[in-house]
Amino acid sequence: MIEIRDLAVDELGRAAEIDVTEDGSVVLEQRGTAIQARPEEWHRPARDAAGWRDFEARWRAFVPASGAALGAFAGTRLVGIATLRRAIRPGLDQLEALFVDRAHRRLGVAAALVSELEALARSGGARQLYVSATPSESAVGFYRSRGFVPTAAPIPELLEHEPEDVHMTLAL
Amino acid sequence: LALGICDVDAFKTVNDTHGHQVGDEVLVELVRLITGNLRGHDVLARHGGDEFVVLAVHIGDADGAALFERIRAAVADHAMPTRAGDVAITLSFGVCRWTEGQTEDDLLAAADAALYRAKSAGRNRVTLAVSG
Repeated sequence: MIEIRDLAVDELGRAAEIDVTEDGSVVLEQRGTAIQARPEEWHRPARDAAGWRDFEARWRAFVPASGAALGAFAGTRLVGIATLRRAIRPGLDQLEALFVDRAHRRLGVAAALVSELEALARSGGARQLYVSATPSESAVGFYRSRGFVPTAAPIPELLEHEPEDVHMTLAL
Repeated sequence: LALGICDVDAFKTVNDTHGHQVGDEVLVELVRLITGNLRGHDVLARHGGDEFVVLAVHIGDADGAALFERIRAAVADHAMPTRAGDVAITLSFGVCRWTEGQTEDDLLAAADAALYRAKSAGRNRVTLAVSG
């Protein structure tokens, strides 16, 4: 049983409990709204303390003032997190981060988190949700299944931040 | 004239693992390394994100291939010092030698296609554009 609830600012550091490791054999590349698949073995290692501090610092900066952070819990254990940054452009919110613990994938945790975030964005008045997705078949496939489509006009600062990602939007 | 596009292999992993500040430190060190291996009149430009373009002017086929290979090897052999400790990266290069009649866009597209092949072939390598 997975419970989704808001995370308090002081709980954001608990994200480091999530095992973000992942492996794949295909890398996707975005060219405009087209996606090209390239065979390439890749491995995402565990995130180190500096990497998690980077995320936490960013979340602490926007979550209380203009965002939201949701946690997915299996009992007391945090097994997923999703964050929303509001109004990065008029009418456009960003699904800023989504991580699900390796041992808890393919159980609907991501769908439950994102579904909740979409509702939050919609109720806050956003008309579109933006995500820069890890260029893997699993991530991009997941967002496509929810109706996200690759955008021809990535937000410049987000493209600069994650140039290898697939930048997508969802009409809310 | 030869144009090489390089891309840091699995750069997203560096950002993902250590954070973007460390990723930025890696890019700064990378630029220092590439610049140190260029000749005085070559040009280095950022092509966006973790992609860079090197324009090598007045260069023959053999010297061009050697220049890009030298940069690739220098990066592969060097640990990038960062606040998270040393970070090892590799580069993939797609290189195209300019031929009469090729536009800037043709040259970039050919180098980009070669870069794609370098990535598919296993990364950390220099791949030359197929001529014609």
